[in-house]
Amino acid sequence: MLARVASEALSGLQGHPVWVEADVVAAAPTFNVVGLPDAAVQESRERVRAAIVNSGFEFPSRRITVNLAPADLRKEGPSFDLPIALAFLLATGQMRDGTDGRGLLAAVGELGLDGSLRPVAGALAVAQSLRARGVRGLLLPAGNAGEAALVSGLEVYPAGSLAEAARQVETGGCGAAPPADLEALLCETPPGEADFADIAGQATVKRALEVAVAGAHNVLMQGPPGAGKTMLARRLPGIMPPLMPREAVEITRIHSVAGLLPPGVPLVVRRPFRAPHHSISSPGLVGGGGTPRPGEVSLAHLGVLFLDEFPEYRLSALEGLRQPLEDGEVTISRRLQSVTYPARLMLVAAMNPCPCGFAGDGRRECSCEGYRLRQYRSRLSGPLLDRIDLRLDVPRVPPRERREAGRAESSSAVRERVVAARRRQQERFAGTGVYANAHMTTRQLRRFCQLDAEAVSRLDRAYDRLRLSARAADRVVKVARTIADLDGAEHIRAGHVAESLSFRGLQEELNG
Amino acid sequence: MGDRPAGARAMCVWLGTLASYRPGFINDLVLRYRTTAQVLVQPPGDIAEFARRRSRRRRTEADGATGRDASGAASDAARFAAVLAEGPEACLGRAERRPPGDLVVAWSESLYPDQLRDLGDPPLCLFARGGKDRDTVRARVSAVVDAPLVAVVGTRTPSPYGLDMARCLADGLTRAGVIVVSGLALGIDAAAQKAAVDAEVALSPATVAVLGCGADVVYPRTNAKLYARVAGSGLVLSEFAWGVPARAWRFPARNRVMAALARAVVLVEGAQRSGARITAGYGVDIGREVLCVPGEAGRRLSQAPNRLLGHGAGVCESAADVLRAIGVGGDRSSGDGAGGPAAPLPVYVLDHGGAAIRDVLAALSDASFTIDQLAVRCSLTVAKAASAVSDLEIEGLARRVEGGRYRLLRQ
Repeated sequence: MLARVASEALSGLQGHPVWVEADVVAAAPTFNVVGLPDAAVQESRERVRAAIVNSGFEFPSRRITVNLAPADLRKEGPSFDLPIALAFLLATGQMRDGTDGRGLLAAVGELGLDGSLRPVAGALAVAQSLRARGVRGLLLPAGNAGEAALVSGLEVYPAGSLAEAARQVETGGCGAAPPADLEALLCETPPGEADFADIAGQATVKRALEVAVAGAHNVLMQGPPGAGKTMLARRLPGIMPPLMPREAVEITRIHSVAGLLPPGVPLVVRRPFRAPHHSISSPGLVGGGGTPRPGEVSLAHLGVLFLDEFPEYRLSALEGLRQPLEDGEVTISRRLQSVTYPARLMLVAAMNPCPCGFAGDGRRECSCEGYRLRQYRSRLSGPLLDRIDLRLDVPRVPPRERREAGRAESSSAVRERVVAARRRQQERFAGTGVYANAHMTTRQLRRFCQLDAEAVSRLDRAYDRLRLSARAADRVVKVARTIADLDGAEHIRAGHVAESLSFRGLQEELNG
Repeated sequence: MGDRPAGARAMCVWLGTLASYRPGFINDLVLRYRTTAQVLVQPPGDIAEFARRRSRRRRTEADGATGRDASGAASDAARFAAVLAEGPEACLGRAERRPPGDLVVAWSESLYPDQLRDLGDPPLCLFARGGKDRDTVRARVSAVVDAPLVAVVGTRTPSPYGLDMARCLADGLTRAGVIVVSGLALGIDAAAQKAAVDAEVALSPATVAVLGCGADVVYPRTNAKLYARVAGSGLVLSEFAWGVPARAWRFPARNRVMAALARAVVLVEGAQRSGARITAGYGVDIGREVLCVPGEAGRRLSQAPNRLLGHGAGVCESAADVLRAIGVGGDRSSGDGAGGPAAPLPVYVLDHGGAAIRDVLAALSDASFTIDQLAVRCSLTVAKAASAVSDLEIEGLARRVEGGRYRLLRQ
């Protein structure tokens, strides 16, 4: 007898419909899975056999063939366990399809040997793809129900075991999980523990970071070890605008596909802060692998990617950053498939001023040979540095100054100004596809960055005297636009240009 | 090889080339024949015989050397033997078959810079490169005799302050018509010579580099661009033959030539045992003015200048101090060495920033500060303080140094 169950395969974030067909005939007992399955799918035969027996069903001695259609699409991972088991039960007549006439029910889930259902990666992406195709409902492990319920317009049927799943199919779907309330989930978010107020001193750097976040500019911080670069970077998500429900779903979708969603957490409610170690490989950073998985740039989507010891990263990894920084997404091409993940992140890079870390520290002398220093800095290519608008010096703050600095402003106060500046930008860029100053094209720069007369003369003078390159001058104007936005000013004034110039930092040394 | 003396020029070039491969060779000869003039009239055969006897004695000493030293010493010894066998005339012919911008100047010629004769063991010939044709390089070598020269030397790993001072001094000296001499090493040397070339005043040569390798050898490689510019508009000198590689013993030898060429030696930053200190020492020995840029107490790179200051070297805070010491154009701009900035603030800057800029300027004349510190001292927001320092930077009055601090620039 022949039976079939709908399921879904993911390629990146993109879903593709898969039909799981089972055929049972009286012949020498075998159990075969065909249709381009990978190792995990092949192994599902053993899990399915044990789960069926341990759930109280029978596993007859027949010739069983399971086909995953379409046959030219690669099927990966354990999420086909459940549809294979269901198709088998239907084909052997141990279960009846109760969904007749009420629309399609698709199934995904991994089986344990005892018949229990385990959560799978990417349930949110699967649910979104099914809804987009007009599928009525999704049958999936209870552990995935929370994230799937974020998709409105799709009925979600959670099951804890194969037996429960079988009951859902027989009844045609009952006891759908209630749709999740996104707004409520986001509102419950407790404030982050890391606050700007914890950091005494470093007022200049904090101001610069406020400007950076307000305009979504990338940042490079340079300073001796222990100056507080990491502490400052960790506090950046706290001054970024609050997550919109749409953004939270986008982030959750990527983390779910990467299998990083913690059990029991249906939604990522905070902006990501990713800080991979500098030994990370290029596929680890930008995404890749045989089956292209999201890299750190995508996991940091709509959040912060913090790269400490910036020049120590592999050159291939650093150069791989250029496309995502430019396009806000990353495309990974492999032999059989090409996958695109979003990667609209704020890059915060940090480095020591020199390999030993003490150049310009004042307290200790730098012991680096000149050529080592040049070697260290030359690892950062011009095109990469061009995508970093702000370069900051983070000096070590002596304890005395730290005490005198008193209590600093809290993250929420800074965030209010950032939100206001972002709102101005959204009004200005309405309909252009750009949402923040950092992403302006050269033409938009000319159009949207009106300098008053004095600002023009100041910029011209700086161009001559400080020997700015044309690109550097454009960066100065971009950042000045953000400073003016924070100031609530329509036109860029001389003071904005001057302050922006102070953020160009180390560019002489850093061949920018 | 004949028994009769060869021409003086050929002898000079031959012996000078030999000396490129063996430290102290000329000294040995002068000890043996009493004066340089006497050495030059000896039959080449006698000198070859003398050199071979010496090399037998030296070989036993060199046996102790290891690694790179040993391989360098071996190749030096081989080159030495080859040149010795070649004889004066052939050696001169080889040294002169060069592109038109290259020149060999012998001790016996009138073009030879006279001030080098103050040395106990002056180089017997100088290999020079500068400009595109023979006339240009000749004119530049003769300019070295007439024009005032000042050596600016210092560490290869300078602090931002040292770099600034080197640039500022070289720029000021060049604009005052003084030719800057240095060794084209990394750090202070390179900064000074770059500033001299950048000044773009009608000075020929713009700067003089004295190398510890052949005048046609670029060392260190990182200075290739600067080398090309100096060879283009300045003059590259070396007592070592064409193509001789850099080796440790050649640098102190080069330093003595640098000190002898200049009227004054200015030491910017250097450790107590350093090449820059050696140059200053040679300057003292042969009666050159020695000036030092005072360094921050307690730092390693302040040792050499501050101790020399203690021993009576002149204090150098600006180009004017050097000009006064060598008696060039000492009448103008005297006495403003340690004062405020030389240039007045442009009106529009003061109009815009007003009190903020004036306050920041006053604070910076005490010490260098970060923007944070300036904001606290001058009671400004960090945004205002950042604007103010940028304005000062645009006007060339302040400069950002490593560690995020700003320093006032003295002209």
